[in-house]
Amino acid sequence: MNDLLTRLLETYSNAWIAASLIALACSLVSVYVVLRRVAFIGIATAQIASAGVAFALLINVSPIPAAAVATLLGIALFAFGTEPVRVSREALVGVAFALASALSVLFVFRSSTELDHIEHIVYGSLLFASSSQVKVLAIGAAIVCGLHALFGKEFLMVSFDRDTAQTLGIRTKLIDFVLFASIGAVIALSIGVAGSLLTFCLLVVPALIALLLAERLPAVFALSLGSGVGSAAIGVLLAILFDLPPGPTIVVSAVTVLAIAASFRAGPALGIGSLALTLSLFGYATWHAHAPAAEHSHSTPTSAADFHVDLELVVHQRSVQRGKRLQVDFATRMRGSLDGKDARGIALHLALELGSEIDSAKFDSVARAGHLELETKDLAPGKYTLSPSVWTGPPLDPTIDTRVLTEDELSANSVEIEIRP
Amino acid sequence: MMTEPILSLHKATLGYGRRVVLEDLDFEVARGSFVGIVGPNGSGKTTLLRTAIGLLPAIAGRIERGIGAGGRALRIGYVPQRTRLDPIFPFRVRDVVMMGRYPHIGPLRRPSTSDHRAVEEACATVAVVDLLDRPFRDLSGGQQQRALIARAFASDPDLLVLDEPTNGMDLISETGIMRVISRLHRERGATILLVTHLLHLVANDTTDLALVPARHDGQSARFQYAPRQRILNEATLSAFYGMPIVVREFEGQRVILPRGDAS
Repeated sequence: MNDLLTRLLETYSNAWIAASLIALACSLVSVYVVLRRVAFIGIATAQIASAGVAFALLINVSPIPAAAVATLLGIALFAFGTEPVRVSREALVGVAFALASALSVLFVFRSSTELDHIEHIVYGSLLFASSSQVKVLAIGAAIVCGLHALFGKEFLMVSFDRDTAQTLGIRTKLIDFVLFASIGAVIALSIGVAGSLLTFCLLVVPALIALLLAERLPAVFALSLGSGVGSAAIGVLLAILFDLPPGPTIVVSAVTVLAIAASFRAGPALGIGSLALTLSLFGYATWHAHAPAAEHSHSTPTSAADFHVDLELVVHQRSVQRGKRLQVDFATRMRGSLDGKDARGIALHLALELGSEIDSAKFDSVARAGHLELETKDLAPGKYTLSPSVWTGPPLDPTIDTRVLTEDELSANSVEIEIRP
Repeated sequence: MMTEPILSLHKATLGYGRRVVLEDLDFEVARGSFVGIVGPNGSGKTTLLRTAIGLLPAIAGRIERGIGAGGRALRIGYVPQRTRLDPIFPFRVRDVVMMGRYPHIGPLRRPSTSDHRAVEEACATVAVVDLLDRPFRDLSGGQQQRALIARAFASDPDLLVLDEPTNGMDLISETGIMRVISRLHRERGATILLVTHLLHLVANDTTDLALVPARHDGQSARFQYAPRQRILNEATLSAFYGMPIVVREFEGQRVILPRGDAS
């Protein structure tokens, strides 16, 4: 068990760190989002950032800067837009939310890996957070935490009593700007990695938990950070154990903690009920994941040939000018079980080689589509064969070894490519 | 040495954007005075107050604020209407009053021992020192108002400004708050601006009164600023309110009543 835990921590170390950093930053600003009653604006801004990520996928640029630009636009719209005539501002925020949601779908709909992209936008890709993403998150979280450590008392006073703060000589507009910029930065950081669903949740739920339980501000901040980071850790663990996307599992964990916190005020039935509901949900997921495999291994002895992966590569241009990136979409489907382990619990790596260039992806779902890119600038012009190789691991389960799949286990097409000078 | 007025308005026009609320105001507030700003609901009292303390720019004209004690910028101790404060904030009374010390603490710093002492002294002045560690939102209206006055006083202000401090209070709380304010004026020499729609609150302890007319009946009432005795008489008040008003002395206190139907 300890061995398993160690390997989980090692294999998914980026996921744990990314989830904790995002939870930390979101829980901190969530206190202001809830105290200032701007939860809806926060969520709409997050959705606008999400549309920015979708646009980044469409034009193939990095998601975090795209999310940052979109967030800035969103905040400018909500903070500096004039008070609307005849209708409430809140209704307009709702319109912005709906439009941003529609755009996030439309931007990626024509993509060959549409479902994968939508999944990425909504659920994020925490489990596969890259080291460079973790670095950006760490720097961003450090800056935000630093700003809040320095200006905490001014942020609070301006939020509580703007007029008096101004008469006392505090530069309220500047303080508000810094506060909202920090909230926007957290949204942009979180959306690119954790997806919109998790960002919505972490912008509101940790502060609610804290405000339900604590009567004093230092305790509110401590509880908010603790419950946010705690829910994230539990959620990532559940996601890995049950082969589920981590965004929703973190949301369910956080809301369960919220229900338990609320039961201190509303009576224990609420907490016990929601905990039971959550446990049965994951109980069902476990049964669902393992029951078919167990049945299967009873009927026939497990063998390597029982396991199979279908892989299809799609290349949009067969002939690529040297120096341009080669874009490859892939779709895979796993079935059967490997060494007694259902396909659902197996993590696979896919590597594509083109001459000396390699790009790889990791996936751990039964069906998965994705996108890879290969540099061609160092390749001599000529004909190449794009051949995939797939191997298991690093495994979730230490009883499965890391090895390349055999020909029996993998059927894949190879693609001929020409590099033009 | 500081004989120049603490606040003066010259041909000032006040309002929001292009919407004019009060026009052509000219008056000076002397140091050490206790000014009651009265007028019916919906008149420009709050607009006048907000402009005077710099929360709102004047549309036209000039507003001058004197210098503060020791030659520093004038420090204003503002007491907002307590109902404007959101009870979602989990502040203790101590935390709220400490906000008054922020100009002394400065940005990027934490409160020092002397700030904590100033908070406790300010709370003792308005008799909320035993409530220091209670949640602000759990206090009664009168207690909250005292804490807000303590906060304003903790900033060591040159000018204390209160906006409808007794709104929604029962007689006992109202009397208590007014006694605290009068005492700050009498014993500490505080210069005070107090906005209220209740004439009887400012009938006795003030030095000067401002009458702010309702916005829509420009025909009879006009803005007036004068020593209390010149405003608080039956002729002026009856003309201002457009109804007969009686001013009487009762056990050393001035009382103001609308004339009964019978008389």
